[in-house]
Amino acid sequence: MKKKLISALLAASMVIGLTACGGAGAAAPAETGSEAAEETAEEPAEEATEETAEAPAEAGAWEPFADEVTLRIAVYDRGDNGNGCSDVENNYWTNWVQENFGDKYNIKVEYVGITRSDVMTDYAMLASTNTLPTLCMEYDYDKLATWASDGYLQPIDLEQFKAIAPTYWSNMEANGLTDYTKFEDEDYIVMGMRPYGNTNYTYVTWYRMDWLKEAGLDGSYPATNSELLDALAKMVENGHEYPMSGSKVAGAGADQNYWFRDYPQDEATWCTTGDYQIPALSTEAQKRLLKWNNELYNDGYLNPEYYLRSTDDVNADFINGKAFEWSGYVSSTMDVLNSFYEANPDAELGVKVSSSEFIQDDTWGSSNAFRPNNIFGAMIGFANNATEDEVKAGEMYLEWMAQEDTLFTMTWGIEGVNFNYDENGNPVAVGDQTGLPEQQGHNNNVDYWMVVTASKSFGDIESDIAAINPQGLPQDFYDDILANYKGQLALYEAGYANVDCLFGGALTSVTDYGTSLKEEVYPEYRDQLVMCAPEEFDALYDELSQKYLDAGYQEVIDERQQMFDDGLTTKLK
Amino acid sequence: MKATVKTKTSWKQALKRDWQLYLLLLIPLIMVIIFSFGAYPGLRMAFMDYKPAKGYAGSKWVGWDTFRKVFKDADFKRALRNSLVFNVLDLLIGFPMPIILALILNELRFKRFKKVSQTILYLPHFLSWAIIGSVALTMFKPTSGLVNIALMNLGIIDEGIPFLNEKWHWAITYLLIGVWQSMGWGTILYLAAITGISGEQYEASMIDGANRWQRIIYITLPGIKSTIVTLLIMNLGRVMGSNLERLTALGNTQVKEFQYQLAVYIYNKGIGNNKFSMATAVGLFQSVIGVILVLISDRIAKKLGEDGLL
Repeated sequence: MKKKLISALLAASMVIGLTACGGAGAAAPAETGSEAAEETAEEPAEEATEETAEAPAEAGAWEPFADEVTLRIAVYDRGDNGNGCSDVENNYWTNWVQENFGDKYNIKVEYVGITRSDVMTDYAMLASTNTLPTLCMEYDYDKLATWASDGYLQPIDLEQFKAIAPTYWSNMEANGLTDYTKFEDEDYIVMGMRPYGNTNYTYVTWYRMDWLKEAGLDGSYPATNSELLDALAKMVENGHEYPMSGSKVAGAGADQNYWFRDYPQDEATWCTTGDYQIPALSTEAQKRLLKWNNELYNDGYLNPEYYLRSTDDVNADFINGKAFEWSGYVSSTMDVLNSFYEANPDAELGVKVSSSEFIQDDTWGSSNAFRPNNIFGAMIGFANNATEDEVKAGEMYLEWMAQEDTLFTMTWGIEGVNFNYDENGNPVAVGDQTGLPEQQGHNNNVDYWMVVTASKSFGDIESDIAAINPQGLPQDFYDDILANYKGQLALYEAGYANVDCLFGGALTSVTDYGTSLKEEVYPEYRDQLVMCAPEEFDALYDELSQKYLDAGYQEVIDERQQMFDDGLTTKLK
Repeated sequence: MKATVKTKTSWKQALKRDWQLYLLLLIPLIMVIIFSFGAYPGLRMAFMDYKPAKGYAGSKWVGWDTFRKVFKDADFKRALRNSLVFNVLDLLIGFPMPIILALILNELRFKRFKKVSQTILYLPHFLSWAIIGSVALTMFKPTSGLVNIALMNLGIIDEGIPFLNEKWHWAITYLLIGVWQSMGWGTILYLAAITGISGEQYEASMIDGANRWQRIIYITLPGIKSTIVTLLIMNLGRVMGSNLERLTALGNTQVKEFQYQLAVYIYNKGIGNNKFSMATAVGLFQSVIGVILVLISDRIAKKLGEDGLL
């Protein structure tokens, strides 16, 4: 009997053990890791602080740390979306940082790859093993608020920060960012700049101008959705099957409805459902957006298998000359465009240029309004387990990166290798850096210098667009990209582009339901709505909206509303 | 002088004689201790409101609250239903296939053909679900899939069969791809068991006039019965489990009603939302049910006169 009991227990433990490994495996060593880190965090920190010379206000004149300090810095790993360089944690540029910054101050710089599409899970895993990078960073304010609330971050001593990183702080002051450092009355974050944050000009839509001309149109992008529908019908007549291509929706930013809203926006709707993180199913704007997609699907302009297709398929459609348009962030090196012209040497592309006038389509409720960015770029917090020296090293890193010469080299690379000067003395990036040992990371190393600024800037838009204008292509898009910027700026100034509402604390409901709403509930419902018969759309929209609200969206709306009522949010400008 | 046969060996003698074997045994034993038992303390997460940055010490104990919340969740019920149905179907369809295949392979007399067939049958086991999913997509898309294009070009069908985008078709595709992936590998144990059957039995039966079918029914199958029972008991323990890779690789929004199983629930609602307590609670629930099923089936097997597993 005893033997039987033991064998039964052993079998049970084996089965449970397998699950425990999967479900909680990461947590098992957390406790020991946490204890160990606490020990090391307290004792040596004080010692090292005494040994370390106080950082002088002048950047770059710091004394090296007496004992080597390890500085761990988060960096996005974009996987098959293209990192540029193959290994984001160890490449020419990470070594360059070590040699030019780390070695000088006895700091060992370690980059920690964060899956770009799964940031929160990666950080949670790191937090559970007490191995958060000293510098935690993200572009979404909500995420930083959640991290601060969940104890990932430690409060920042801003006086110390100003002393160690004066250039960085003065950048923040000059850009009006110093008001955004607090969560629930404590300073938790510092932030990089976002030049031209009031527009979205770096996200560009290229379209087949030759297809429009072939359809007897003048070649400019249709001004309204109604005009676009007419153009699409002609394209199909001319043999261009499924001109709008299409792929399944995935993750944050999917199905943004800014161009289906009425302006001026209603402040409560803007605050409670106006973000781009959780799709706003149940709102009027989302209904218009999905109805538009339903039309595209039922008219045969969307690929009927879109829900099985990825963004790679969409890219391939455009490259192979099977899609009317393609959108992406503009940079001097654009693989999709390079490949497009290789496959379609006679094609003529245009850039969708925003009108400076607000144009709304009566039929579809769509307009040329858009989502401007926040006025700040990446937000940086210091991990809860970072020692005093590690925090100082992190602050030194931010200051060092904010120096003009450092930033220039990190963004442009090496003259003659990554960039060349043009006749006006402006740097122009080498279009194709494939195979170079000095190959830069994604978008000219942006994931390394995002701590300082979200995009390269010389201080004037003309030079800045010239710097990111795609190189080595048969067509030049400088004028159109500039015109698009000016059009968007005019719309922004006229009130047709509103920055999303920011919440001064963590939203529990967003943490609880946000991911499942956007990752699993919304994709299922939106595909039903896109693929249903047009006459069934309205009733189905109401039914699925209610289910969506019940699945947690109502709680999100209520909590946001409460925070708004409590005066803990930004206001609609 | 009376000769004595020593029947008992002390552990010291055993160790001295076979120390190399014990040393080798240590490796898997240590692995089990670390990766199975070592993770056990993590299970307490299921009874806490676990916050990664606060660790176990800083997180609050909540008792059975997480379980109560999970059992009330409609999505959990859907996931549980799908897991049970699809795993039982997997078992019904997938379990006999390796046995049948092993019996067929065993009857092959042309050795080279047998070896090549075995290798081909084993290969799908080594393919990742990501690759299988990608191949399945290329083969079975409703309009641009190779199979549908071929069938339409042959005039057999007018419009594509929705292998992957209609839930009932998807269920069949999902189950058959699962069988295809695992059946070859599953034959290995049965073929090994078959080689343990004495050749004399076959010779005697042939002399008695037994044909090939009778030899399979009366010699081969009874010869591997204990292996079949053991594997059946082990497979019953997995009836609550599901394979996230397989479900993700073959899933899409059109078939979510069936594709939504416990593994997807744990990943999306638990890990995706950073609700580690919830993920652990559901995982623990799955395991406990799995253990109960193993114990029950073991007891039944023994009552039926088999050796059982434990």
